[in-house]
Parts: sequence; structure tokens; C-alpha cells
Amino acid sequence: MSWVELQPVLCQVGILAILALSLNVLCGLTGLLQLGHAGFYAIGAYTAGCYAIYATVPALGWCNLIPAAAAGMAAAALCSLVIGLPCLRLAGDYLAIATLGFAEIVRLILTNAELPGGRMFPGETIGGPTGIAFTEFPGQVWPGQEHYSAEYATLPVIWLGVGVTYLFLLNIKRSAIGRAFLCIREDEIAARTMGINVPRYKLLAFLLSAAFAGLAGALFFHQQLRINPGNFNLLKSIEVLLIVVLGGMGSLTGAICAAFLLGLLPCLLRHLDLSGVAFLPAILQKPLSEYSMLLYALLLILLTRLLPNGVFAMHELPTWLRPRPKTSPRRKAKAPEGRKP
Amino acid sequence: MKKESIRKEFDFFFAEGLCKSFGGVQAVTDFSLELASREIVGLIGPNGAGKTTVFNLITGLDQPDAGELYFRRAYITREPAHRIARLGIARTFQNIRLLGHLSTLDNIRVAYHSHIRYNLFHAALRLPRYHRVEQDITDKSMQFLKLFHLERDVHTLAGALPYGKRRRLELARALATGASLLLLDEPGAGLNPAETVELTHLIRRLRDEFAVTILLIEHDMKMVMSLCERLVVLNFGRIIATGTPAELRTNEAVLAAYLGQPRTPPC
Ligand SMILES: Nc1ncnc2c1ncn2[C@@H]1O[C@H](COP(=O)(O)OP(=O)(O)O)[C@@H](O)[C@H]1O
Ligand SMILES: [Mg+2]
Repeated sequence: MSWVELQPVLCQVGILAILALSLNVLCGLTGLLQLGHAGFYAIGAYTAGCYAIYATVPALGWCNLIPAAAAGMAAAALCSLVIGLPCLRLAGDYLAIATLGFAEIVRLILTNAELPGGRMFPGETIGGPTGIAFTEFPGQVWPGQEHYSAEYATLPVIWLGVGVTYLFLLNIKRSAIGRAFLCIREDEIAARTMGINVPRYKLLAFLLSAAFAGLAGALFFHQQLRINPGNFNLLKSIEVLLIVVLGGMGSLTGAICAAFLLGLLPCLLRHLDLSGVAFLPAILQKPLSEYSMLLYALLLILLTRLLPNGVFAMHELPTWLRPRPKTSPRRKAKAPEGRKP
Repeated sequence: MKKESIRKEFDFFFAEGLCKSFGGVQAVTDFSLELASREIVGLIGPNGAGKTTVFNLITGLDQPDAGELYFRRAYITREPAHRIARLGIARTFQNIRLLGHLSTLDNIRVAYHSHIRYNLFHAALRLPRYHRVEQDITDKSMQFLKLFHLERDVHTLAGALPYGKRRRLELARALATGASLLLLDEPGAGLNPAETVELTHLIRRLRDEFAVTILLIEHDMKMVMSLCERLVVLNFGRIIATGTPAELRTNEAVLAAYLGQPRTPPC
């Protein structure tokens, strides 16, 4: 497989990784099942798309990516607040159903809503089933610039995004905020008696998760420059959830590794061709990639059966790679304060 | 006014007329209790008497149908549980509620939640304040683990600890919240006699060293009699007697309801 062929695949893996990292905050750390992650992903992508059409500042060049991504994150975060305030009161499965409904509503709105084309597509409309597609440019769009560059979200930029997301969320996981998330996941009643404002932390997890899904969406738009509502269907939400489960609920490193595995899988399957295998019935003689949905389902079943905690469980490294913890504290501890009479 | 006089008289903890029913079951009826600072009070009664429900009402996990609660001059009736915890009431649970997939150390560190003085951005960007606060919390947590003889299990997952240590860890976690009122729900359940004696000493030590008030539910009469300065006896959700252990030893109603029936400790 050549580098040219591999590059877009690695971009996709990066975007999947950001999606999985963000979903992991909600599903893995806080223990809330969410089936509508694609909704926030779509909001991020379309917001970045609208920014590109209506608000691009040509002088900024590739720097336009930064306000576009920020707008995508903000829009997704805002929606998460609107959805989260009523929905997070719902327990377990009901929350999953509510978020699933939300993602479908977003997709249907995007399928049906049309917007004016602005400076970029004068006289045309954008949105609807065809979405936003920057394919043909009516000549010179901006003075001195031939294209709304497709090079904005290149491989390094996307993986920079992965790195930033990873470090941001990892630092949060290892702080009091992450402990509060985990505490809610482990035992909500215990969390309440520890002084943790459970609804507030659930909303925070929801918000963080949505914001980074928005980032993934913005990067996706800038990498593809053509998006349509079909990119953000239920299957996408399930795929991301599968990655989170595969990597281990709560393991951010695991999420990235699993994104690699599942992101590269279709690419590998395409190269495994069963068409030449004589002893198979004709109906099975296809490239393996035709079976990818079947294999996903099989993988999910096997996983929950064999590795219910995912490859990494909730840790950042699998057991055999983890350094042995020191049992003695590094610094000499002071006596607990404020507890003396 | 009545509320004002109540506040003056009982400036530590006061509950009046608490009622709670679940459907048709009247779990607690007209429960009143006052606690002075640094007291150890026992709440006893047969199974199903409503003791755990009283704890749930005090900690805000359940809302009372009627009645009022004051803690350190604050009116805390119908406050959310996390706010009551912040004011300084902590508890342990009859069926231990630890964070099974977290290490022993993290189980203690989570108790410092209400004392954390940094926000999301301090944490995400690893600003100096984050390091300072975390180091401080870790040091204090280690100190607590030492006090409770858990220092060898710092990195063990709480779910993997043996039963006795889980009980101790939950007690340590309640204390680490900085609470001034500890509600202990059957801390001795399932412990062997040697462990029970150790626990008795530990609880008394906590009261003396940390100046906490302890409200204790316990079935082990030896432990209750030796620890508690005062007892409240519940039966069918009602207080049937209060008094010192010595007084209640001869109380007819108590004997009939509770002490009369010889009990083997549950395992
Ligand atoms: N959440 C609940 N729903 C329904 N009934 C309950 C609930 N909690 C407690 N009860 C009932 O209230 C009564 C008192 O229970 P509890 O407070 O747990 O007793 P104790 O702790 O003294 O053994 C019991 O009859 C119990 O069945
Ligand atoms: Mg009970």
C-alpha cells in the first residue's frame, strides 16, 4: 500500500481517535451510555462548513482552521447543554435512547434544511441531502488564492488535534474532575455523599465530550471538504462506541489504539480478496471489505464475551507494560491539616 | 419563634419529627434526635427498624416526608446530598460502597473533592496550582492510609481488598472528607471478634483525635455498650427508648424488642 493511499486513511484514523477519546469521557469515565455522538460530530462539521462559506477571512490562510474548529466546538458544546439539561436526569438506557433520538433529529434537520450559498456559491443553496461540497470552484474564489484549500486539515494537523485532545483529556482524567467522573461511574450514591454534585459533573462530561466531537467534525470537514448527512448516521455513533469498548472503557490510550485497529481494518480487508478462492460458493467470492459490517458485529460480540473490559481496561497501559507502582510515598507526608481539635 | 430557639439550644445537630414512608411501609415515624459535639451515640434496633433510612434522611439521600434537620446552625432539610456532605456530614454504608475499580489511594483522594481549589483549566493545562493541590491531597491521603493501616495497599484496587480492609477504607474515606459528624452504618458487620475489638478502639480514637461526633448503627452489643455514651432504640420506625447503655440494659421495651432475642453476628 502506498503512502498516497495510506494518508487519507490515517487522517480518518485520527478523526476516529478524537471521536473515541471524546466519547470515552462520557461512556468510559462517567459511565453514561450515549448513542448519539454522531450528532455532535455533525454539528461540528456543519458549523465549520458554514464558517468556511460565510465567514472565511482570506488573509488568514490556513489559520482559518482555528476559528472554524473553535466555532465547531462551541456549537457542539452549546447543543450538549441544551440536550444535557433535560436528558441527563434520565437513567441508563433512557439516556442512550434520548441521545440516539437527538442524533437522528440533527441528521434529519441537516437533510432537510437548505441555506443560501453566500459568496462561495452565489445563487445556489447548500445543505440538504447533498450537504456541503467544495468540488468545483467558480474560478478564483478569493483574490490571490485559487482554492479554499483542501490542505488545511492535513495529516500532521489532524494528529496534532489528536495529541491536544489526548493530553487535555488525560490531564482531566488524572485530576479531581476525572476522579469525580470515575466516582459517578463506580457508585453514584457514594459520589453524592463525597460532596460531588452529580448532575453538574454529568453535564460537564457531556459538554467536554460534545466539544471534542465538534473538533473532530471540524477537522473532518476540512479534510474532506465535502460532507453530507449520511456521514453522521447511527452507524457512525456505533462505530465510535465500538472503538471505546474495544480500547477499554476509560482508557484514553486504548481508544487511540482501537481507533487504529478499526480504522485500518477496512483498508486491510480490501486487500484480502476471496474472489479467487475456488472452494467457496460464488456468493462469498468477494473482497472481505464487503463483509465489514458483519465483521464489526462479530467483533463486538466476541469482545463483550472475551474481553468485557476492553484491551486496556480503564488503565492507560495494559498490565504487562505498566511500571510497577512504588509503594512508599516520594515525599515525607505532613499530618492532615484542619483535623486537630 | 420555635425554629430560632431550636437553633440556639442545639448548635451541633438536631433532627425533629422525621417521617418517611415507602409506599405503604412507614419506615420512620416522628424521629427526633439531638447530638452534641464529640458525642458517640448508638442507634440500635432489630433489622428493618428503619435505622438505615434515618441515615439516608440525614445525609440527604432520601427526602423526609415531614420533619426538620439542623446541622451546625444551618437548616439542611431537603438539601441535596452533596451539599450536606460539604457541610460536614459523612457516612459509611451497610453494604460497603467503595469505588471498586479505583486504587485505595484514589478512594481516599476522592473524599477531598469539596476541598479542591482548582478548576478544569488548572487541571487540563497542569498549572502549578494543580500540582500543589494534588501533592497536598496525596500527602494527606497517605497519612490517612497509615492511620488505618492500609499503607501497604496504596495501589491495590479497592475491589480486590479483603473485607476487613474494605470496611476500614470506607471509614477512612468518610473521615477524609473533613466531616465533623460521622454516620457509621454497621461498621462491625462481618468482622471477626478480634477485628471488632480493633474497630472499637479505632472509633474511640477517631473521636478523640479528630473531634468528630459519631452516630453508630451496630448490632454487636459489646461494641455498642463499650463505645456509646447514649443509645437510641428504634423499633418499627419509632423511638422506643433512649438513655445510657446502663439504663437500657434493664429497659423492658428494649429487651422485648431487641436485646431479649439472642443474636449471632451476621457473616
Ligand atoms: N428504598 C426503599 N424502598 C422501599 N422500602 C424501603 C426502602 N428503604 C427501606 N425500606 C423499608 O423500610 C424499612 C426500614 O428499612 P431500613 O432502614 O433499611 O432498616 P434497618 O437499617 O433498621 O435494618 C424496611 O421495612 C424496608 O423494607
Ligand atoms: Mg440497615
